[in-house]
Amino acid sequence: MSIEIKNVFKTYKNGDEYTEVLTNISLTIGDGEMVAITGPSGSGKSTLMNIIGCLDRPTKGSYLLEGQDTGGLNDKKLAAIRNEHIGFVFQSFNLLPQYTALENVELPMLYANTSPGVARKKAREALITLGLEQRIKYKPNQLSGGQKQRVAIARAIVNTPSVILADEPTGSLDSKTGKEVLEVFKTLNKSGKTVIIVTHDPAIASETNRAVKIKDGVIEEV
Amino acid sequence: MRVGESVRSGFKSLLHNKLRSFLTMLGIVIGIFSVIMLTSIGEGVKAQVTSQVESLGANLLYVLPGKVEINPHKTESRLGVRETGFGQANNTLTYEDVMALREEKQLKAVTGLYTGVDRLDKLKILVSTTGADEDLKQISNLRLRYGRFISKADREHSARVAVIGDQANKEIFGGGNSVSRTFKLNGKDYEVIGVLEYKKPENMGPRGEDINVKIYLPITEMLNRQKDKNISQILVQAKSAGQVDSTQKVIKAAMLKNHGEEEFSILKQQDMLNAINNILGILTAGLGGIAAISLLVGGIGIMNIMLVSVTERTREIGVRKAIGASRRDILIQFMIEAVFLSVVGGVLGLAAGVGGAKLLPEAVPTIQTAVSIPAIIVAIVFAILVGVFFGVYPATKAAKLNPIEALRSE
Ligand SMILES: Nc1ncnc2c1ncn2[C@@H]1O[C@H](COP(=O)(O)OP(=O)(O)OP(=O)(O)O)[C@@H](O)[C@H]1O
Ligand SMILES: [Mg+2]
Repeated sequence: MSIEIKNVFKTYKNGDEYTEVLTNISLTIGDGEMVAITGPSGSGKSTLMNIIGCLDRPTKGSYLLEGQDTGGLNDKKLAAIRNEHIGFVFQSFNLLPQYTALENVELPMLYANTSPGVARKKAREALITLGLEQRIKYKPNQLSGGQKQRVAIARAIVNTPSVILADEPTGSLDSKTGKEVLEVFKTLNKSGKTVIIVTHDPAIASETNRAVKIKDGVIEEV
Repeated sequence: MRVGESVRSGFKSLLHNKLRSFLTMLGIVIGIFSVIMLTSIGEGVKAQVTSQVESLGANLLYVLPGKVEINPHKTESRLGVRETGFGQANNTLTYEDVMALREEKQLKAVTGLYTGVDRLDKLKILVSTTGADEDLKQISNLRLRYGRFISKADREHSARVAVIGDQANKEIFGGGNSVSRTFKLNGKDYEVIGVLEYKKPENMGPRGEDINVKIYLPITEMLNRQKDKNISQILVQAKSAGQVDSTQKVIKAAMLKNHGEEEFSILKQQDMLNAINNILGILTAGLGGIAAISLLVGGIGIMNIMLVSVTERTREIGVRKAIGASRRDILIQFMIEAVFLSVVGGVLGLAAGVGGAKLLPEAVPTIQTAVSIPAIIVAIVFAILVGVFFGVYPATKAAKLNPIEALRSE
């Protein structure tokens, strides 16, 4: 899916105070690209990711996903886009603590009206693909950080989205586990998915075929 | 299937916090329990009274002295005072009325009743005696253990004979077959012609009479001893329940020949039942209403916990939205949790209430209960409504959460 961000502004308003986070950002990411977004803390990387992921809307400017302007879509349509076309991976995993690994991975499919039997089967397959065959029935608090992130990735890919958004996916992992997780993203990219990774780690940024940097609300190619 | 996930997540999070869920439900449990218990007791009293009144047969009519309005018509003026009251009026019923009614072919049975007080010489006490006609046996469905009831001849000859209850027989004669034995009332000999069968006190008459202590005498014999010839009331039995209304008209017409104006009242059993049921119905509804207030308190408890839960699970809501849950999905999820709390609480309360209503009469035999199906339905519907009503606000709050802020929350 092609991503086209045109002259986007994001301003937060707290009472009388305005915080300009993104100022006139334009960015185009083609189908099947793997892009790293870097930049200092507080520069607006997560904010940009949330806009790309249809979790947030720009204050000004337009965002076209596969040529379609998302500005006019309602909550239900945006939820459907997040569900079908976008897979999120977070730094802090964000697994639901009361659910097992399997149930966490099933979740996006259940919101997509997949039948429970099919969802179970596909969730199991996704976990096996990520090497978690032995941990299917574990709850998040029984898993290591790397395992949690792999469950989160399984959850992100199980609905076969075309875009994977990872916000510092290796930030909570040691470098070895981080590398393993990065390999997973590379494999996903090779299978044709658009992968966008926010990272502080230059080593990771150098592994992707494209890297952009946000600083002071402006974006530049590295 | 989206709803399926909402149901599952509702269950999961409730099971995740078992103690908290249980305590939250407790408010509803207690509310429904008290509604069911109190209405059951109310219905039980109603059923008891109804069966007592009906045990006399549905085709009975009571002729009482004085004008009684059991369903008073509304009058324009509030100044009006009823001319004659029940009981306190001059007693206007006479034995002439009984004799007149006896001529009416449409009546199945007629008896006058005269309640008097006589001195029982043997025990040196005053006892209540009842004067009656031979028809009372049929009207009140009296069963005799020994002998016979007062006959037409006894009545016509004002015979000094008596039919006594089981307890009276025990106290006067020490029990056994006392037919033909005599006892003294006011210094005069009365011959026992019959002894009534023992009747359990719970099958007592409508006015709480204990049939076992009764002493029945021919009404004519009692009236002969009095200066005024007025009687307490007249009992009439219609040929069938369907003829009660026409019988009432016949009685009225016959009575009006003896009386210039309507200085008597003819009550049907249905009138009395209606009046009693009205009062008891209001009472039951009032009790149920008070109990329903505790349901309201339970509902507020649910709302409180749901609000806490929404705050605690802000991040979860953000995650669900990120992976594709719409506002509606989140709304349904939290609604289901609230309704589930109230419905499970309601079912537990229902079980406890029905169980309690069944067990209460065994623990306290004087209290009768009747579990009423409408009360159960109302209670359950109310429980669901409480869940919906008090769940809407927290659930809307959850659904409206901005996913970004939800994900950012710690
Ligand atoms: N609701 C808000 N109100 C005001 N300012 C906000 C709000 N949300 C975010 N910001 C500000 O927007 C800026 C960008 O935040 P963002 O999370 O996008 O940064 P980031 O680049 O992801 O940083 P990090 O690398 O630390 O994750 C920050 O300065 C932050 O304070
Ligand atoms: Mg960030």
